[in-house]
Amino acid sequence: MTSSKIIKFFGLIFVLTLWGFPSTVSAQDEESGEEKEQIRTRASLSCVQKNDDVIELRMLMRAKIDGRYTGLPLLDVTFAATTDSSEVSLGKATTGDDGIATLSVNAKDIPRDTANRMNLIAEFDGNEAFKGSDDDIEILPALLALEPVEEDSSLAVQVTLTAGDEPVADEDISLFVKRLFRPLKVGEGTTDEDGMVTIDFPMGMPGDPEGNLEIYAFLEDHSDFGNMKTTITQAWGTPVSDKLEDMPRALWSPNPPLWMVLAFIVLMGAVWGHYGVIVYKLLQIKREGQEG
Amino acid sequence: MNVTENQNATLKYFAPHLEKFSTRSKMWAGFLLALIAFGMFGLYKQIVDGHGVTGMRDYVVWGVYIVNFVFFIGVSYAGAIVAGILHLLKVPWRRPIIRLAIMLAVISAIVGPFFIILCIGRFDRLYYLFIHARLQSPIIWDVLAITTYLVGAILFLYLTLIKDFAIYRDTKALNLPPWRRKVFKALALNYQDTEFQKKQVNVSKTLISIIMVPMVVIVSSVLSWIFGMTLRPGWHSSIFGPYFVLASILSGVGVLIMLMYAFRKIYKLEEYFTDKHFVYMGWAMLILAAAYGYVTFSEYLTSWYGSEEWDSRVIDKLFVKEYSTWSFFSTISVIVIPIVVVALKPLRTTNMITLAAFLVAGGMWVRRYLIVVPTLETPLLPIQDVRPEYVNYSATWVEWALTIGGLATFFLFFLLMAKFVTIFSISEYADKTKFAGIDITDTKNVQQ
Repeated sequence: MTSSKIIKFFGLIFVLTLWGFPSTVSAQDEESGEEKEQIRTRASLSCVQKNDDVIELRMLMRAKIDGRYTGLPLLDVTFAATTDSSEVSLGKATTGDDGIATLSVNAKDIPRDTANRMNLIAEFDGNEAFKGSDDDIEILPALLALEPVEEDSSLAVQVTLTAGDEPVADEDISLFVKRLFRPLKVGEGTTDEDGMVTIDFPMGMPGDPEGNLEIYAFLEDHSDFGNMKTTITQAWGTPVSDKLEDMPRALWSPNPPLWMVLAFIVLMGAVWGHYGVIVYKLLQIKREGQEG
Repeated sequence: MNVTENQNATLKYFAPHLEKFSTRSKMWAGFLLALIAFGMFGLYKQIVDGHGVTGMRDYVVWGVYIVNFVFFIGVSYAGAIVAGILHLLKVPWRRPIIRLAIMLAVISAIVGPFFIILCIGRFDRLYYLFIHARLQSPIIWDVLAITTYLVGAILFLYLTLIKDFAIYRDTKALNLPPWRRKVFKALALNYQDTEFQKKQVNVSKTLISIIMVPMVVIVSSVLSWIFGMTLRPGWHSSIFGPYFVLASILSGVGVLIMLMYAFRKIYKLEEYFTDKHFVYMGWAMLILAAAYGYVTFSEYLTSWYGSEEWDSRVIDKLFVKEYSTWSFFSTISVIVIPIVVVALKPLRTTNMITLAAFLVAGGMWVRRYLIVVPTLETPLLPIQDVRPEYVNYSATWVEWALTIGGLATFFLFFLLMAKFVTIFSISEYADKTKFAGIDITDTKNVQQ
């Protein structure tokens, strides 16, 4: 093979390599110039009745994008309550990254119908990208009360569910403890004819520096009451300090392990020591030349 | 210093290259500078518009920049270890190769680290690396290793040049401008070739060779630990140290053979870079390719057999899905071709060995890409609802511009070095009388 053929072959391989590797080198984001149609949205309204007469309204806004439902952020949602004859605005909220807009209102501010029910409605009016949609729910006010019970060496929570002054029987109540990421379920039970249930509570759970635990009972998706949640704080946990302790001598600490420091000093010392000797010899060469 | 007739004659042969820039050299330099300018424009865009102009995103935070960095640093390590071993073993055919190898070591070690700097989004915080240095960080190991290594490589190059500086200073064969004579005089350190000075230079060269060989193994391993110390699939492997050492030396030997071929053609140095040199370097390439094939097989067999979920995903990408063609290309070019070309006598020619070396160098670049990108595209904790362009990496024109600019800088440095000094040691060739079959001691045959 002659050298010119070799050079041509090299050139061909080089060009093919650059051209084909990787196949796409163009910019990644290209916007289409076509006008987009409004996307249909789906609204889902839910609520949580909490203690202290607070009702939390939650509107989930979603749309089908790329074949699956996705939460839509930054949409303005209007909340209102209706009766047989009037509509009262409760307020506005904007959806977050998960597509949920949340509004907390005082239960006393919500008008009731003749059956003492609250008719709640949430509405998204639509914008350039998304069509409007709304949803409504109807709930009956109820009360979920929690009472801590300490007996000898055991702990328990007594939960009472009432609507008006009437106890509500045969409802499943779950008991949770608030943790860093998601709540931890610690027990469950069903209310008796007095609307009461006693759920055992585990001992020795890690708490805050004072041993406090945030405990809440939850009634999920009831046909009349919606969701209900009542929270109490009890010093039933083991105190855990929130202060950082001095870090051990480890890789993530400010100080490297001793063996690493020694290895570094030995290796660097050996190499730079050699360099020092060589530089000294170069200076000797210079001095010898000057004397010569 | 006494310059022999043969050395003067050799310098006269090189005089046209050393004394001035020919038109062809100027055109080459202009072309390379244009490519560097293209790279600088890419850098300007990257600084002004941010790293969004690159293909790097949340998943693939290292792209072709780190591939270039690993490639150049690997090539550099190879130059140093080849020079060190040839010197220590006093291999008879070492003379024309050592300086070229150590030049390769220094130039690559200067060009390579620029690519790691390009990965950094905030240049103004670069000094944080030093003021907040933590000895536990593999990045700091690499910074210290490369800095220490570069100082050693420069010392090594200087030691191979010091006798020649004295010859350039004292010869009448070169018509050099006064400033260059002054530079050579300063660099020659009053070297007069006395027995004491000869001994000091030889002892220093032996010392630096002794320290260079293990240091290359260590710093090359440190480079691998930037990857290996993470828990990512395809990286977290105890074999990564030797894997990188072999990869560095193999790719460097490939580049060295290409340089030998290029300088042999440009300066007509067939009597210096003989066919024998190419065959010997070819055998080195064969042994390294076989060893590299073994560790590659061992690495992937272990991952594949273990069938751990994330390892399997990377293996799938490399050998079955999107990167299978490039895996096949790199395996053939890096492992199979050098073995076949050197093992079969009819193929064992200078041209074929150089072609194999070219494919080894190209294939090793691709292998580095295949080590970096598929693993980064396979995170252990994927982002929920991640944008598709975050998952798959493709380099943009800015990254290619800077890659081409870096390559052009590498060649420009060689061009400038070859204009400043001879590419092999004149002092070691006091007996050489022929170039390209021409008797250079006959003054009629060389330019006056």
